[in-house]
Amino acid sequence: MSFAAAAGLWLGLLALPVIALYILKIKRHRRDVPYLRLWQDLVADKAFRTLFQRLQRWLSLLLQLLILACLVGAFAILTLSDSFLREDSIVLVVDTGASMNGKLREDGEGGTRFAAAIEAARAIIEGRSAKDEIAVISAGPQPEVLQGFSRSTLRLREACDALTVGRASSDLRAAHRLARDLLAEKKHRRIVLLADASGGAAEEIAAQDGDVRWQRIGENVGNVAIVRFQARRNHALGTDYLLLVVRNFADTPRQCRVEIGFEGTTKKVLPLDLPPDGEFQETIPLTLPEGGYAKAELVHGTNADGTPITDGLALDDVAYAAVPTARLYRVLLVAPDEATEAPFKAALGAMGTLIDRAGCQAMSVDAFAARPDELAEKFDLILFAHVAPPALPARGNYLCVNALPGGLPAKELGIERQPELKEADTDHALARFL
Amino acid sequence: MFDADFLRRLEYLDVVARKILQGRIRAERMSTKRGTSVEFEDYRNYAPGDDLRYLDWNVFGRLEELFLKLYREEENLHMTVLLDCSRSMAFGQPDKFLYARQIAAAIAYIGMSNLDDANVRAFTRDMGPAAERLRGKGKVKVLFPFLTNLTNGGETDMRRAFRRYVALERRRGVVVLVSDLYDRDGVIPALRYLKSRRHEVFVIHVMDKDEVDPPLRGDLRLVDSETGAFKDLTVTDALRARYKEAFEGHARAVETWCRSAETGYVRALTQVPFDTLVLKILKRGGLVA
Repeated sequence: MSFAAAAGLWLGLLALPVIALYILKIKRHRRDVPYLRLWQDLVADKAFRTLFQRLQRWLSLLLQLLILACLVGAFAILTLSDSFLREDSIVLVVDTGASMNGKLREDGEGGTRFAAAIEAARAIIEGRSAKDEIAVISAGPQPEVLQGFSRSTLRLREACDALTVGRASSDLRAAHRLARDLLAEKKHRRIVLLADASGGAAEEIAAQDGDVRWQRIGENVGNVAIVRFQARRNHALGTDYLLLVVRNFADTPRQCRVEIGFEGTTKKVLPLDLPPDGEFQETIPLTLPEGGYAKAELVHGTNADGTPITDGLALDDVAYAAVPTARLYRVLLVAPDEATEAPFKAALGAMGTLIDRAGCQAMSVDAFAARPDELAEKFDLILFAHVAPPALPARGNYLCVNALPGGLPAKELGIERQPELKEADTDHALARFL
Repeated sequence: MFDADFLRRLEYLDVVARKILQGRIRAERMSTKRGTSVEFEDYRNYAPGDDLRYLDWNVFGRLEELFLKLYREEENLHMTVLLDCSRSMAFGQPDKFLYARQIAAAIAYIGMSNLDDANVRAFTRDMGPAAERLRGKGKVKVLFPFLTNLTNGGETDMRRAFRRYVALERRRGVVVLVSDLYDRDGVIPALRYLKSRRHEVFVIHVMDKDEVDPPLRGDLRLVDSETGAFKDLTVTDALRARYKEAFEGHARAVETWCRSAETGYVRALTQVPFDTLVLKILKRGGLVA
């Protein structure tokens, strides 16, 4: 009802000409009287003395508007009766990308876009026809069906409650494809896309697919964001540095500053004056030989009247970068034989940026058991491959592959003879060092 | 309009009128003028040129002086019906003009049958056509065509019309005014003028029930039937109630003045049969005395 009713009720605008015509012309019936003076004397000073008498003049207009409202209502019901009786299959695609953390409006009123999207989804669920079935898709980086087609209001409400907003950008096109797959066997298909205008994907999808109705959440709110903050190594020079990129997505110039700190201490402050759609890029040399993390925080200024500048999304005002240690790691490989050692040596040899190949060593478990404390002190990591000593020293870092040393609060359940390697997200800031 | 049935009703009215007015109305009336009749009134000294036939020789024999005998002159009742022919008289169902002509015909007929001089004069802003000196029932052949051919139109100006009437008719008599009494300059001044000329005036106020209680409601354009002026109004129950009060006040003001000036006044509602009204007038008295 709520989808098409608005279109029908546009007919209500017919009230405007009715009112205009009423004001311009009140049709009066001519009546001859033998002596007009009697009437003129009456109305000269007594016309419309009471509020009720004045209102009586408008009763006719009110009656006309009432009749018009009845006609419009009847017409709307006629045009919508088909949709009332039809069994629609609706997929609610709710954007759960990071941009939905943004403010709903420029003035900050109304909460976040995500909260508004949830409210809109609930309203659609509550206002649907009894015959309509609804499915709910969470459109995050990897779209997910939270609730298949259902007519149960309770289940659909629970699906809405299960929606959570993420910190990564959403993939609305993938979510649209998923919604299309869900609707493949359905007769009357509709997709309601509850998303903001971030990236323009929602608008494109709505333009390309006639079954999609994009319900825009939130208005354009100016935002300055840290779009890149990474620790990198210059292999030519052998030095590390931080790459910082800040972008102004607002339509107006923005003044702000970026505070960069290492391990909780602010080390550098960069004042920025960004034009509309402008970008700032800076490389900052690193001096953290032991590694750690760096933090960049965007601090917004104030307006001319002293009020703080509104930023659309707080999430992208803080960024962290993991800083690798400058020293290469030494690894001790403990294996029963050379055949077992071979793949591990190859893997360690491939990690040239992390592993000190010259400092690595391989030995038997007996050799390790002869002087464990000394070896634990000498190597950064001791890797046990298919063999383990009866007990581990109190200090040191250990990685056990198909081996379980004694003295640990663990129990060996079995051995995976054919372990499977899976692709990992090596671009991730943390995964790079695993 | 004046068919056989109407004439029959007039005849009946005439018979009833004779009974009612017996002893009070006569064809021969005592005039205040002195003249020739059988009824002695006074003496006066003879003056050269007087008619010697009226000398009282008995008095001359005793006193040896010439006295002239004076007698009260007899004359007929001179009755005039002034009929309002303005456009406002066309109002009503049946229209007031038809009703007023029926009343005029009835009154004139009664007067004619009693050997009085009956006159019917139309007026609007001025005096209009007239049927004069109608005496005897045979004059209905003059009266009815005259009334039938009368048309109404124009505005009312009683004062001007009555001045004209006084100028035209020097004899005093009974004047019966048949009108709806709508005059922008006021009715009472005109009546006062007529009264000041020593006419016996009787007012028949013709009105329609739609004037007394107009069936009007809603957004209307009220148009004056005489002047064509209009007024846009939203007629509500409250406004109608105030109009009824105003109309009653208008009629009552004339009635009050008539009573104070010893002038007959009667309201003639067009829904009341004309003969019933005329009988009512005759029973009340004052029309002829």
